[in-house]
Amino acid sequence: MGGVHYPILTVVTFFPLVGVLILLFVNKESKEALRRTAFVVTVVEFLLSLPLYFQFQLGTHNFQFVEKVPWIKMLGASYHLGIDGITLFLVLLTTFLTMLSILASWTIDKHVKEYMISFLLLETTMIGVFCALDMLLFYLFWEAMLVPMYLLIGVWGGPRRVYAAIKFFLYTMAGSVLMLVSIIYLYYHHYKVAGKLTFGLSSLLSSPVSASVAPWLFLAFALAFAIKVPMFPFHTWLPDAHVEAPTAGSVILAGVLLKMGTYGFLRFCMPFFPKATLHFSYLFLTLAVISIIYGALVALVQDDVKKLVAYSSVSHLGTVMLGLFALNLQSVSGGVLQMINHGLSTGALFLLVGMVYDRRHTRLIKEFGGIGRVMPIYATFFMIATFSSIGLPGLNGFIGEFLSLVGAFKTYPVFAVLGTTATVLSAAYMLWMYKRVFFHEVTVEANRDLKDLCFREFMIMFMVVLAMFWIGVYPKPVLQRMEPSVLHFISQVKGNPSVQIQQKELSSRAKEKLSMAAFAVENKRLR
Amino acid sequence: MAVGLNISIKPLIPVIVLVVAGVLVLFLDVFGDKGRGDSRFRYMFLGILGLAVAAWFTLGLWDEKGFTFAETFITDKLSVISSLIYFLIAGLTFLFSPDYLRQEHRNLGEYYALVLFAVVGLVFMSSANHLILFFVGLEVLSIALYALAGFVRQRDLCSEAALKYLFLGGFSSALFLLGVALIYSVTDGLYFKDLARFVGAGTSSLTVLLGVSLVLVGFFFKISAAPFHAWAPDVYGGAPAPVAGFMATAAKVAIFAVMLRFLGLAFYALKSHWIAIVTVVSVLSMIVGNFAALRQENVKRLLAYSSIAHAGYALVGVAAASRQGAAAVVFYMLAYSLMNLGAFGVVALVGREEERYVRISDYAGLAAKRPVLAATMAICLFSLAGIPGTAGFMGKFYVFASGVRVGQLPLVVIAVINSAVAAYYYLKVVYMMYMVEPKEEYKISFNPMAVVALVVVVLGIFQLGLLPGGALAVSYSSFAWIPF
Repeated sequence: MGGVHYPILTVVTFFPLVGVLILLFVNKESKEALRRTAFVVTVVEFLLSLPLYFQFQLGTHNFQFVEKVPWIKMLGASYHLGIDGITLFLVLLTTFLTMLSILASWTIDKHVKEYMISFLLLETTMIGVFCALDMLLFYLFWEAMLVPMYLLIGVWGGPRRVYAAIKFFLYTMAGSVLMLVSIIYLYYHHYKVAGKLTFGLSSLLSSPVSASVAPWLFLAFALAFAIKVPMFPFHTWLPDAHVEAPTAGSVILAGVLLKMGTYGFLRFCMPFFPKATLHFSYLFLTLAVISIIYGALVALVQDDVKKLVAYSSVSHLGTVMLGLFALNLQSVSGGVLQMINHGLSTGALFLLVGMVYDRRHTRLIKEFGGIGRVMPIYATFFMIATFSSIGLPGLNGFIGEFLSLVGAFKTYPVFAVLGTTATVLSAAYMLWMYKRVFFHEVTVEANRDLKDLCFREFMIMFMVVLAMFWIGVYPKPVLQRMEPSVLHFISQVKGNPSVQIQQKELSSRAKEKLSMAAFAVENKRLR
Repeated sequence: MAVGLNISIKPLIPVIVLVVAGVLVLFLDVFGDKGRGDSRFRYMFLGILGLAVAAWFTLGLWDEKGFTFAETFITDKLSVISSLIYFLIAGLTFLFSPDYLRQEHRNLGEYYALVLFAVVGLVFMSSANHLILFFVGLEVLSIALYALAGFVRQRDLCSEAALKYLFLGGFSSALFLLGVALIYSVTDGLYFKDLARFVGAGTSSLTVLLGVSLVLVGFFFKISAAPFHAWAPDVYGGAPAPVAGFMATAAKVAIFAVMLRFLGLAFYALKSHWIAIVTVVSVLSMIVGNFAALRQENVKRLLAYSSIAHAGYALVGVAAASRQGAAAVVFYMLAYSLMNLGAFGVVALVGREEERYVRISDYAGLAAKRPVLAATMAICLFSLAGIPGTAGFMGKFYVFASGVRVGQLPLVVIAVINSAVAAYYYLKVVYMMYMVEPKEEYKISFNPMAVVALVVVVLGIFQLGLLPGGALAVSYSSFAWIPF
């Protein structure tokens, strides 16, 4: 499948490890060489991942670029990789953001070699998580990812880094061990039903568990993923980890790691236990709405920009969860798109916050004011990222948020209405912050001669903004690739094969709604 | 009961080789020329040579199955695999020892000879088809360990460790023997097969149950399972680090092998009784070990408590009472031995003279000064914590899977929650190594033998963690005789 004649997913997954090997032989002291090597590796990695997009077959929900070789025969585990229209973009997002993150890490001066090695290891595990179609392989990548991230936060983070790193690690690990038990249960359940030992995702999906155990297994999976998302009330590790992590770490945390949680719901938790999903949907919708509102309200009162962005993530990811659990075409497409968008917009915001932190070593809003005059380019990029984050039409953030809310409105109007407050609140906290940081006169003397973005920083932001506009203006290639997978997901959970018929209608209908909504929202904002 | 007195010497060749090697080491110590050249490695090389030859002969027994010495000595996959694991453990211990012992001024031949004799005891334990032969093996091991634990006799902690181990070990041996006597009083035979036949006939009595329980207590003591664990922190903490590594691993491997024979072959019919006991002890060991380890400031004591917890994890596999559970235990023991020996090996290196640097805070900034050593320690610790990709994860996974399969879900849930708790204290050491600025220069001399050992350990950890297929298949095949 696909027009690629080499095991592209293996190459994409493990190429960063080749980079690690190269880095091992670079002298510890030549920091510039280390940075360049790592950057080249991630650029090549990004380029290697592009054929996934171009060779991707449209109109099928089947996994593509599939590779399968037996791994542990005794256990029936196999090395099984493949992507569909959803993971395609998560993989691309990962390679894209990792490349930018390395570029943004030029200012790291402590243990550069170890830093770059950790980052490349992290990239391998992240891509592995999205590509693995074997539950044991998935779990391996899922947990192994903790180690490099733990080190990134703990070694190169802010003042309270150690606390944040350990909290991150333990939270995630505590959540995932119960998932492991559930995976093992499913594995033996399949063995009992079908007589074959396998961890293959599709095989395990084919033998649903009985209604008495399903809720428990569902909750075990859900706990692991809800912590990762993070959903209220499991979000408390997030502000710590995001704030203490180095800039690039925050970018990857927000941009990719949180998506693993929503991806987990989408790929494993909900399809495995459709009945339990419907049974618990009110619980999760409620938690999603609480996350949306709570995250936004807490963001409103932050005096630290980075914390503000961190809490806004809780809110945005709440929207994703709302979309997923509303379970219709628009809402899920919106949710999935929002996963990508949030990666770009929040990633951009963290990058920007990091840039100003490098200059002033503070992120408190009150330390700034009027820097729009001192750093006009910076202010422009910040403006775009802000608009993207609050979902201004024309930028990427709008479509995802809008689709998920419209979709949710169709099935759960009350939740959708409550969730819509997010658009208002996010506009409030972001614009208010923007005003206090960038407008008016320069209030703090130290800000008077801040340098505007250098070429490296400009290029980083330029690339992100390009991606934002691309999705914002012309989302069709993205939506088109996602649709079949999204429909398949809905039919998995709702068990409704006729849903396939709607597929053709989608593009025209969605487009129509989109333009209407764009109009409406713009009116609202102008007023 | 007619027992043919067939005596085939072949299965005993490895043991004979080890004894000869041990005696040669002693002779070399007495008559060797000490003044000439670099003599610190000669005992070690001789010892490793002995182990290698013994391993070669043991591999020759790979497909053998049979009895010798009036059917008291059994040769099967389990005994062969256990023996190979002991040889590996002893070999790694040897590699760590010369420099350690030299800096304590105790690089004496009898150390190596004692380890070799301990291995002889271990081989007898896991090859025993008769409770008395097992006991003889156990005592050969224990006496060697008493001496080894106090080997650096000028150090008070070390002597204390030896004395504690002697007293409590003697106590547990006595309980074990009492249990054996009770069983014998009813069954009139101590061959595992006879016991199985007896219990299988349905004639179990309170005396037998009591006997089995007491024998189990003896086992639990030796694997430092709670509530029979109290000696472990003091003994592992006080004993020389390489010896502590050896004690914590080798004895566990042997006892688990025997426990599986004892419970799986001889007393399988009583499984409803012993599953309950093993489950309770497993839960206690995990909880006591992990929660006590959280508060440790001394790395050796931390590893001691962690080894209590690991005994608990492995007991989950025993409590599964299935062939898969048994195989999982053997695999777990192999994985555990590697990572634990690696950790104790690094402790020995970082501890330096008189083991002055064994607190967690002594590891501050190790990664900045000695990155490879720190990375090795981190790999061992992550493996102990059960991070995927390492041997520790595969071991835990397989043990827990065997539990889930037979429906022991509550036990498995307790176990996984415990392993999440455990991550905290392993991370504490990693945190110290990587995230704290170094306070001092680490004057750790380059030690080529230890490097070889650590390379073996790290490769083993990744091999078992990423491609465990072969090891899993072998450990599964070693329980073809299990009636379940």
